[in-house]
Amino acid sequence: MAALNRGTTPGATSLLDRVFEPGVLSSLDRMRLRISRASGDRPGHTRVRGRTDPSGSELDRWVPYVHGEDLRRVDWHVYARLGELLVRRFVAEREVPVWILIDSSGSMGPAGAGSKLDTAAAVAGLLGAICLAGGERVYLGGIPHGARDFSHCGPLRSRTALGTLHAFLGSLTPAAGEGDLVAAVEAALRLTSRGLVVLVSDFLIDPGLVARAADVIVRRGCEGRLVTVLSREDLDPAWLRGCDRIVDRESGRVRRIAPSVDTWQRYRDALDHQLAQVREAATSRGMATAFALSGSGIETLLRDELPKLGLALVR
Amino acid sequence: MGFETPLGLLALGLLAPLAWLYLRVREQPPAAVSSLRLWESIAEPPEPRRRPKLPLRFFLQAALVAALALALAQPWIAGSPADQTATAAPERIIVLDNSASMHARNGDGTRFEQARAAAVDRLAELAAAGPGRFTVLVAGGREETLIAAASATDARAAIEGARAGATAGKPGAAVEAAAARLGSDGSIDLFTDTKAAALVVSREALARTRIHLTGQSGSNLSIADLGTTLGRLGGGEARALVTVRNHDDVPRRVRVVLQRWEEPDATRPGETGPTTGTPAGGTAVAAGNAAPVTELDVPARASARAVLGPVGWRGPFVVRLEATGQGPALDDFSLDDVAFGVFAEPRSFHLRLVTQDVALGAQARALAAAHGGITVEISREPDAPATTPADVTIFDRGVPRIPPPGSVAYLAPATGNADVRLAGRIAGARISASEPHPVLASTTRPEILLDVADDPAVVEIVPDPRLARVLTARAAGREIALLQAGEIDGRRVALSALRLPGRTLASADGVPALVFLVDLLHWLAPGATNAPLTATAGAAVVAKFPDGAPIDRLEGPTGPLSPDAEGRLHPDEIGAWHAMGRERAGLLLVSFRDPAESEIDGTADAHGNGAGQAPAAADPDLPAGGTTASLAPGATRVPLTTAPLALAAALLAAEWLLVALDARRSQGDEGL
Repeated sequence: MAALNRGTTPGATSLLDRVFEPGVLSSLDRMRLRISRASGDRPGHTRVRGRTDPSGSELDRWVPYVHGEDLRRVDWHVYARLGELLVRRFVAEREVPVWILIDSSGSMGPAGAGSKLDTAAAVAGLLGAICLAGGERVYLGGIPHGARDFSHCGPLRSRTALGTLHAFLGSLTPAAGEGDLVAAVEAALRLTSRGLVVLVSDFLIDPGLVARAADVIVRRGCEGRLVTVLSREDLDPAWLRGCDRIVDRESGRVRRIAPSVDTWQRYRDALDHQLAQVREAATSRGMATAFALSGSGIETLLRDELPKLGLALVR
Repeated sequence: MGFETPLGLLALGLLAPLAWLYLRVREQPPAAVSSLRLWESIAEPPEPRRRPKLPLRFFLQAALVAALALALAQPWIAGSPADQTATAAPERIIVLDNSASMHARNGDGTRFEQARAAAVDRLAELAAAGPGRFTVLVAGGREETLIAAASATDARAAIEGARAGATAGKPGAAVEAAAARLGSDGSIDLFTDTKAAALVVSREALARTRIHLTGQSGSNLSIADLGTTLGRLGGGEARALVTVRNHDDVPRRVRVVLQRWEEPDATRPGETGPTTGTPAGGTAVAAGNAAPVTELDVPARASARAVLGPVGWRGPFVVRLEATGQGPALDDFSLDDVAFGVFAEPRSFHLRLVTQDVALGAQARALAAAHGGITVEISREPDAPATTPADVTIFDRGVPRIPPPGSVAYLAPATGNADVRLAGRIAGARISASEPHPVLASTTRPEILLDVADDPAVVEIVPDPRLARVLTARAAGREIALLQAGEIDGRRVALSALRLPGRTLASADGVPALVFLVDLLHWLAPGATNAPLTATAGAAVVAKFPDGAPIDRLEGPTGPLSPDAEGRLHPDEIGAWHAMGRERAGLLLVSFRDPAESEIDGTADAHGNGAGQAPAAADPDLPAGGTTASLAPGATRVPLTTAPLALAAALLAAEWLLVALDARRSQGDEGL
């Protein structure tokens, strides 16, 4: 864990590159992401509660034998004691498709070590590496301008795909325009159902759009997780002292402001309200949320925030 | 009011970009944020009303531009008649060439007299044409302003008081100086014997100059050079060598006369005696019975040399060219027919020879007897007191502990003192280098001196940095100084590693050594401090007598002359000048010698050219009277350019002050 204790130095190695350092990766091998109901169709190592198979390693329950079933599944010990033909059902073990969608719109910029996009990519890298170590099928996607621009990577399986994972995340750059979160989710889930979808974004958009994206996830029978990534500038607007105009990185729109303490306070109130609405849209649909501050260390993420998504140590 | 160059007002157009620079909207670039989503919930402040706000600096710079534009346009206002006469009257400059060639006879008078009369006439003509300010310049060796911006009456007096000099002229330089002095109006009139084509002058100056030529032809014979021959140490018979130049196109015969020049009393200037045809005070007397007159045939445009003498006397003399027979005058230019020279007095001095070589003493006595005027004292002991203070002392091997006063020579010194230091003796010396010096003036093969010394080992004298190394030898793989000479504390000192054996001097093989001894004595002998000085008219003379005593002033044909700031005198008239110093008085004989000025037949093509400059070409399209446009009466313009320029300077200073205050204020803000 020594590698995790190092802080982030702006302008030095990016957070994403630190995730893929051997020391960090070996630490991630002992972590798993708990998945409650998502599952795929292919056999895997994740036990899916509420879903049974005739074979498996964990007995779920006994059901009455039905004509036509394989007689080899009958539990003859129970028949000897009770005189009933019962068949064992085991907890299903499946390979869970995990979609990690990263917002690469202009609002995540500017590019560089310690930026919001770097932090988002690091979060995605951590989750992706943990999922690959857990035997899941990982997909990566960048939140595009629309469905046609949807770029993705996957399926990735096992640790041998860590290089591909790193390369894709490293290739993400802030786009010039606004991202379309709903289109990205729809494009991703057109290929997949009953998987796990992790959205990594600053969510500085209309909360209604966040709710719509969450609805798409629910409708496709998937689990959802939301990770909000914000910068210190997003949190505290006092750095705008002396500026009377601001420009939106995504849209290029310019707006005049009154640089005053009152304005900063009203902004902070608006931000708190925005975060609360996003959290509400997620939790009301059974989705966990986490928060990442750009520039935070990997240890901070793993210790404080990502456990909120179901991250846990094994052994 | 009007403008000389109205196009200068176009510079006012600079005001537009200046105003744009200040009025353009200069906004801070907006700060980039992730999203305007949150900001949209915060009310946008109202748009501030942007009123053009111009700082004080803008108005200063605008006024500066306006003032400069005004200055470029050169404004003027119409002046009153009083202003016209006071300041705006055109300047009329009259330049009189008073170079030596203007002495040439032309008809009834000289060229200069005719030029002066023409200048007076021209002055009257100009004065009648309208108001003006008159300036008179003379273009001799140095241009001189006789009178400046004066009335016609004063200018006429100045012209009539001018006289021709005896130096080369520079009319071109005088015209240039006049043109530089001249404003936009005015005129220049040059009275000279130099054609326009031969004047070294710019086209602009020439275009404003009206040239009045006076005489360009004449016959002339000149004394081109004068030299003397004397015996060794100034003794023996003397002769004068006169080179005569014929400037005519036909051969001429001329009589060359040498006369002795005597001053009644050189210390009492102004009391000179009657002249006998010489150009300046003093008396030319017959030169005795030595045939000082000769007749010489000089080919056309060539030179010939006459030898006058021998004469048995010493002193100043004058050489004159005269016509043969009872014919007309020799030529039209008499200034170069006379030249002064001096047969230098033989030098008398007391020689003390310290030697144990009896033969050398005998040779010295014989030499002194042959020369005359030299007394010799032979001594055997270097430290023995001299019976008479010696002007020149020669030590043969023996060296005194204390160097004697006066000039001194050490021959093969055996010991050292303050003048000489020894390093030892060295054998096998061979001459390796010799430098030109008066002590070797007649010695063509210095190696012979080494043979004459007849010494297997020579004295090695430590080189003295105060003395020049005249002879250098190489021995034992290094350079040694055989002969050094120079001045130490005002005394002439010669250090010789070579002996002069008396018995060798008496033989035929010792002639080179004897010649060396004569040259050595010649160099060591004190200068003739009372000999007359000679100079050429117009040339600078260092204001010192031969022994270095300063000359405070000169008194002569044109009155007193004082040294200039650089300690030089400029006698510009031929004749005898009296040099007056605090310690003594002497005679300065000034001759005229200038081949270009003597060429009076082609004066127009021969002089007036400065070094390194090509003559300006005459413009055939020039009007006869070369002056530029003149002003109509009452149309005088009083220029107003100075005021806007001064205003611009003041505005510039104000702006700098403002910038400095702003900078100081900014520093104060940062400090807070």
